Amino acid sequence: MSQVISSAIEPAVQDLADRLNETGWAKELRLNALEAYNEMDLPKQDEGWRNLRLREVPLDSLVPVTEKQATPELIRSRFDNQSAGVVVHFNSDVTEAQLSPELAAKGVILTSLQDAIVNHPEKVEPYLGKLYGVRESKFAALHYALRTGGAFLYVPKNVVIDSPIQLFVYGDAQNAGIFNHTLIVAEAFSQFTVFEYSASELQGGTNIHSGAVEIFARDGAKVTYSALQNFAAGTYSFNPRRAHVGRDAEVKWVAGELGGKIARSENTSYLEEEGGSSEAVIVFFASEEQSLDVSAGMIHRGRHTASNIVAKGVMKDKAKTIWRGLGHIQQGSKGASTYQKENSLILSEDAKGDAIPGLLIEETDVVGAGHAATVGRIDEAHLFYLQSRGIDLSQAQRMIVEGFFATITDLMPLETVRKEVHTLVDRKLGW
Amino acid sequence: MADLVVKDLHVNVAGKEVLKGFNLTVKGGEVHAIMGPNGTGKTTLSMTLAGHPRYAVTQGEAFLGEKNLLEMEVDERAREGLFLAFQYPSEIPGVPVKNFLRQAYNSVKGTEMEVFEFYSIMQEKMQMMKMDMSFANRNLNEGFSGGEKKRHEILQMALLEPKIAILDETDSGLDIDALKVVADGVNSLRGPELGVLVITHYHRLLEYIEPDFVHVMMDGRIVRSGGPELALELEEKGYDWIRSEVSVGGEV
Repeated sequence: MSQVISSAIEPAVQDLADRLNETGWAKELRLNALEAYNEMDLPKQDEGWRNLRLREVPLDSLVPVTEKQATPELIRSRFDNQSAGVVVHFNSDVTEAQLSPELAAKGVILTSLQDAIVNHPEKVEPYLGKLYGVRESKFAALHYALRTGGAFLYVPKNVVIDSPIQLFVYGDAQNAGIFNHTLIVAEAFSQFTVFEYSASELQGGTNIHSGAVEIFARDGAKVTYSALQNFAAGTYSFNPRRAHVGRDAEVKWVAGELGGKIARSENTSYLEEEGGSSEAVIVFFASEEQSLDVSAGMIHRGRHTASNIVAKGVMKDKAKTIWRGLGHIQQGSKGASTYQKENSLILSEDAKGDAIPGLLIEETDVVGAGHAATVGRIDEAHLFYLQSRGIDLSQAQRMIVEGFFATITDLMPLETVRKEVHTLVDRKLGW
Repeated sequence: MADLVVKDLHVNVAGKEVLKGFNLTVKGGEVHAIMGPNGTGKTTLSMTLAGHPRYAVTQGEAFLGEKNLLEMEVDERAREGLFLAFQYPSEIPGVPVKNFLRQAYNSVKGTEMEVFEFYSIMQEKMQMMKMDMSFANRNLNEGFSGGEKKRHEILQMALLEPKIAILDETDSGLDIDALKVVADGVNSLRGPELGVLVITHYHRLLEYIEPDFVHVMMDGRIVRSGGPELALELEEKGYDWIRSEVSVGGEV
């Protein structure tokens, strides 16, 4: 058994548990995670971790916890004064947590998760770690063992928040870890949108991000979670995002996966109760030597649940991507429907893109299910047509790629996210 | 004004020789029609002149004015004043017509016209082609009817103001009303600065766009040339008439 254990990790976990005054379940969760981390191997190919060079992840030189610093201007400049609240997770700490007083008066809570564990344990304990298990992988264990900062959002029953809540994840310390956990509880009939932006600046070095998002959407709640992952080329990122979708609740995922050296992300909805629905709109773009592993899953357990996944990916240079879509209608989920559609565009000879669409139907009484996936190159005829109008090759390619993405970014609900995706796509294309 | 001069052009497609010594000169102000049965190399001619990479020139030359077309990239040829109205224009998802037209205009004209400025130019030409302005917001050729696609091709021709325009089977798939709109558009662009090469299978289009010269193409080259009356003669007697003459007489 090959194990990767940094001598720095174990004392750091103990120190965190003591320093954060964790007691009872929270301390237990952390120490269990350490145990799991020490016992577990790196995930294997047959466990759904294909094509990732995991041995490259510098776990043995990991700096588990860094000194607290002030919120960098780079992040502060992204605060939208219209936003309902902001949380910044910077390296190991939350350096900013703001919520509009109006919403606080309505009972909304927005703090670091670490503070919520101390101040609102009754609202955290029933949920933390319920959708993303400590022993799912070595990276999950690492996450729960060294978890700091993070974000906790609690929206009471019937509260509707009109403007988005901004979450930032940022790292600038080489070899350091970012272990943030976002926990969201949407009580019945609440409605809101969260926009998460993650980035790093490493001056050519590397760091490790092992994060998690868990969302609990109670009866009739409507939650939109938009995530834009724009890590530097030295970040190894592992970031599952999962949601429990209650009765008649709606969870919409919007994700742009653009950065990182090796980045694995996932958006999964568990449609547990009758009438719940979920949608995932995902864009990914890998360039240079990036490896992106992007997936979306819809697990149907409740009756009359509905889901839809739309994804588009572009790969250029020597990049590799793997896309997995899963629509799983479990037995008893009568009247359910699940659809998925994915298109990939490969821009260079050396780039590689795999697409694995998946449907698992265990119930006979379903309304509908379907999947479609394509992987292809830019159509030569399209280029010729544009060039024959005087447009040069690189501009023609740009128009085609922008057009490819335009059909999906139009589905993204926030104008800021749409613009940001366009800008980042242009930059990756070298324009 | 610049003449298109093609001499002894030989072209291979997928290893097979399709054009076998093609000669033609189109001067500014002239309209030439090339007619011929299917599979005779008409589309190969237009694709080769436009510079499609799959059409390999093995012999001969093609000049636009002083410029050697065969040494130029596809986009350079367009900027030099060559225009091809496609028989099957590509459908490109997510690219709005208005963006495409502005990019093309700026590329060919060497301008950097902004959206607002370009709008009035586009509007004028669209009115000429009897196109509703909502058309500009649609995605490039996506879901266009046959008539819309061809009108859109001629709209591009009107905007880009080429020196030589090749219309490749622009009449195919058009009903009579659409054909008239397209022909009116082309006729309004006729003038001493523009040379037009109309490639067609049928005589019908030539009733609306009257050519100065008619050429009959068979087996990769022009086998007979004449005035507009040749098109009428062909209409009456069919291609077999020429074919028999050519096969009996050998080189014409």
